[in-house]
Amino acid sequence: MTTASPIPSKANIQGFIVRGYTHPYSSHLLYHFGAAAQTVPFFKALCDRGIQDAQDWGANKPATILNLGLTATGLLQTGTLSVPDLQDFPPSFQQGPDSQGSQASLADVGPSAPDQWWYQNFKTEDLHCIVHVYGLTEADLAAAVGYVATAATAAGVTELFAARDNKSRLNQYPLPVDEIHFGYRDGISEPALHWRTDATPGPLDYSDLNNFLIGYPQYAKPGPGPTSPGKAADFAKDGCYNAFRLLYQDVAAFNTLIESQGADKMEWTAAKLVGRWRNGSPLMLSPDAPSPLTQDAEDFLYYTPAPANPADAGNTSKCPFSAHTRVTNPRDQQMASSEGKTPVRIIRRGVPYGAPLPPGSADDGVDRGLIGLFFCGNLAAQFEKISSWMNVNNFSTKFPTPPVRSYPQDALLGNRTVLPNGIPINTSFIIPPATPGSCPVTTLRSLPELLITRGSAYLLLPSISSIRQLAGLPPLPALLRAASSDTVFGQPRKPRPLLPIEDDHVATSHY
Amino acid sequence: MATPLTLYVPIKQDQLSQAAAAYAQENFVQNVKAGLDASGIVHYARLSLIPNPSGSGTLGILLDTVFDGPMNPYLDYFWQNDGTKTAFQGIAAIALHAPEPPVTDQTGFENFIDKNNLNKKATDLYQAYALTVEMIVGSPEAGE
Repeated sequence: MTTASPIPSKANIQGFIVRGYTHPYSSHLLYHFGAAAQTVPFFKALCDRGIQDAQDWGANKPATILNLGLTATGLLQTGTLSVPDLQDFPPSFQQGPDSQGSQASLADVGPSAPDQWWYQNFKTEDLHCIVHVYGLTEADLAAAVGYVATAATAAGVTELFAARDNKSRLNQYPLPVDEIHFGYRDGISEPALHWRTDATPGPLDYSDLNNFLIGYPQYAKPGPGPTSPGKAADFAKDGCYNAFRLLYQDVAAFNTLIESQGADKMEWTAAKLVGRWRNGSPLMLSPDAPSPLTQDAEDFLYYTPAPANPADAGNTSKCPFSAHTRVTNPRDQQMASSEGKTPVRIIRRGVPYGAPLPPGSADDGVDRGLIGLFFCGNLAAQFEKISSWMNVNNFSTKFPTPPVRSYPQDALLGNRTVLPNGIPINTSFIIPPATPGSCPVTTLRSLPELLITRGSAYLLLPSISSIRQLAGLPPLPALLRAASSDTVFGQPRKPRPLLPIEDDHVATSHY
Repeated sequence: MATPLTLYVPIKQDQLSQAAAAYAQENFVQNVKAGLDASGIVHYARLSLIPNPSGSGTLGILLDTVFDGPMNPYLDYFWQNDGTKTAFQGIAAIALHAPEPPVTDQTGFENFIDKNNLNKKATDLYQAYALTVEMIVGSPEAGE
């Protein structure tokens, strides 16, 4: 006999977990709670202005929005949880992304190494809290940032700066909506975030919200926790983790890479690297040219329907195995047993920072990239797992056995470096020809490293009631009422091919 | 190169726990073989019983294993697999000091492994080759 799965209250969940904001301006404020910090009045001030929850705002889109997260050391500094309480959280969260365990997957080396993070302006363990501020206009953002900064100063909370000049904030650069510095539209493929209940048909789905919210293990595959009874589980419930990644993007090196195949194949190369044309059209649906009809398409698989040529069962003639979007979301590609039956998902809420590189320019030395917010319920089983896939493409049985005793990497974002105790990798990217079996294949050798990790932190995005606890405020009775009034999460489910994968797919002769 | 996990857990000295440890060692391969075969990443796994200094009875259990890839993401697989999950929960059940948090959810399991792993720094593993299990024996799914 199963018990009915409870449905979380939207009034208790931070809003950016369940939906991406489209505010064109945002600032991500980093804070340290020193010995003199009074965190209770700081959080009280933030609550007084309002922490955005997940309830529908209807036609009245807020002019400004606040959300926040805390690191494990930040939680400890607030005094809300003790050291033994903290030990109930997952070790990845306790120890952070610079720990050896996490670095085995993230593989930040060389200029990306943890001891280089934040331009060495501060140590990662000194980062305790990030306040995410969003504005509809530049003036809206300035007013909200001013409010938060004033509250921090009044409470003795120290602001940290991750920019090279050690004084600039992490501000979103208003590129066209959802565009990143490499020129691709981003954020097209996100988990549907439905809420699974006993009545939900079909197999468990990694894109369900149950896999991201802490406290509902019944239908959660990767086990968001803690859930064992205690103060930690009580505090964490309805929260979610944020793998915060500040990622420099080397646009000049990217441009050189896509130009390497000739001007007439520049966009083709860019599409093959990612699996989508830069307008968003997936190669699986628009293999020959981008199309406005498919630029937002999300309903497609790699093995279904099966192509006419069985030698190309995985459709690598359209989308290479190591294309970025195929690595990070392999869809119906059969996974190695150790990776689970179907691919895990993460929620992406990142925004670009830094002014764009002018077209045709060589590198201008300007810092630009992504303020990456990657949400998950289990940092190790979701975020770190996908990161490890990007660095070593060995997650699917459909990759042919490596002929050179090394594995390929994500064509766009692999780190291009073998860790001292890591699995051997190679940095060539093989693009199969449009007609399977014909020659020659296109091979991009010695792929460059296009990202530098400028900083990273793991944060808990607490529930609204837990943030109120940090602020010394009582729980809201309205939370209970809201729980029964609006229980629809995600967009309506679309019919789609079932994911269970047959074992009769034929591996092709190329990556 | 692979990742080592050397899990050392002192166990209770009562008759039942001692017998459980002996049973776990006796049946270890049989109980975990299917799961580890299917994983396709484990080079070897071995369960040893560390004797008490007196020479009588078992002081603790030592699970010694080496596998391909980073540990953090693969704990998900070991928790989701019934055979390995049961083996780890069995060890936790006879631990001298009850795991805190308990090994009843994935977070408890991750903490149990982390707290009892003697190889947190993987600088103490020698390996004669840089091949993965897949490179040596092929993918476990390949023959299906």
